Amino acid sequence: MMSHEPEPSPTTCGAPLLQRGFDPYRDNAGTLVGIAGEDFAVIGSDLRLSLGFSIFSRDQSKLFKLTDRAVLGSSGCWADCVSLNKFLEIRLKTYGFEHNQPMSTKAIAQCCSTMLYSRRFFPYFAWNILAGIDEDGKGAIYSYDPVGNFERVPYQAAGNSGPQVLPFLDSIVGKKNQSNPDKAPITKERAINLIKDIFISAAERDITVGDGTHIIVITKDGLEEIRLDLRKD
Amino acid sequence: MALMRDAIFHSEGFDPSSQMSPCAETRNQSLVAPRQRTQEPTYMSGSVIGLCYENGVLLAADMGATTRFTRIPHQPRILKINENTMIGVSGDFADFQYLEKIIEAKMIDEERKNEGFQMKPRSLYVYLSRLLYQRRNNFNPLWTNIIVTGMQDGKPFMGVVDMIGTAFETNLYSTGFGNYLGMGVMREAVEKHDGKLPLQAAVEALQSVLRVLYYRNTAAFPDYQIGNCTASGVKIEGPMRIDSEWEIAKH
Repeated sequence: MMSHEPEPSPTTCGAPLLQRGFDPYRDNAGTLVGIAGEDFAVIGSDLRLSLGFSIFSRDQSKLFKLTDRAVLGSSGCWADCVSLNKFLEIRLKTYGFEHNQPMSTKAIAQCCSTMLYSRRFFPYFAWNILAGIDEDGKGAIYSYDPVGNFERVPYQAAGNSGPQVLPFLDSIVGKKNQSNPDKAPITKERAINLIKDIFISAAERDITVGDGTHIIVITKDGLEEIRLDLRKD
Repeated sequence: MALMRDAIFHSEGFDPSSQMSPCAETRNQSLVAPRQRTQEPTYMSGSVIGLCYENGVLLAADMGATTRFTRIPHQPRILKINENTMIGVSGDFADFQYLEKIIEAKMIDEERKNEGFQMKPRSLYVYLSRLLYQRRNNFNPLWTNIIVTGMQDGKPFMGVVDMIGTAFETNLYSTGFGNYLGMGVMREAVEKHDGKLPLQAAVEALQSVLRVLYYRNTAAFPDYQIGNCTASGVKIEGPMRIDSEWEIAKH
């Protein structure tokens, strides 16, 4: 009788299968919302850094100011988020030295994707949204998945409360499934207030959202920061 | 080839995180068995507690390390790095001693250059976060949680780094059990004094946290140290002993 011989695992291509008990990922949650307008982009994050039921910090913004016309929001495994942004900072500095000008938002968007995909088989567990102003002065939001798939979108919500918040944005900003919507582009004030309302609502339903929000408005004149307190429980 | 595949898939049932010695069959196939690295800690130490107050930072930790069955008492876990930096480490005790060594080597290296300035706490915090993140990427973690404290350009600083490289700056933190039992007490003290916490109140808050941890954690020790970092330097006091009341346990 033939002895049972298992097929080689397709994922290791016959190489020794490494088994390890150590889990390198943590979900530190965090929520991001971004809205693009005609000549501005707004991005917001919550300030709570947590792991399960314990709160690490009540004042940790997930927004990273890359240039004076682009801001990256990162949430997920905070160790990965910090590392990704440190490497990105190095890339941006090097680009600045080599080209004597800051990287354009479009180039940053591609750079982020390339860097995420470079870790395709040991991914950065980070959900990213890039907000900025493009070469034509228009507001831009780029949405990413952890392995570098990206797309330019008019608005996006990501992170822990992303799935709860996105349908709301679809309705209010995207005007989806409405019979006679007013298709006028969203104003800056409306976008800011909407993001504030979204975080207040998310804090009611999601335990990982709270303490405060950090909102950055990007226009051709630079970055404007807004902070708002949220419930602390 | 078939032999090698056999070896690979026989080793599948072997749990690398197990402390037991591998069975004879696996040992014979050690050439293809998974590489063994620290997958779980041995001697562990308890919480390190850090609190920023009005004009400095405090670090507190009980002294000692334990396994499930054995204890090593009187082991200090708060280190003075230089005149404006100190760190507290919890987690695997061997990894802590390893860290102690490499930080000391780094400090000697900086001193050797004799450039007339010392490493600031934020630099050490970032350095440790990169070190621990790299070790995590190599699946060979340093099983430690570190609180780096000190005076950064005249202001109290506290940075936290955990075993996978999670890094953040905050004004109060506790690793381990203290994260559940102690952070509320400390935050209440900070809020009561409207952010301007005096030294005495900060020390009292830390002592009450240490007492709760000693009461509630079987692995805790009654001896502790408190490190204080101000503009005039780092001072680590102790060992001191927690005053505890066990009479009530008899009723």
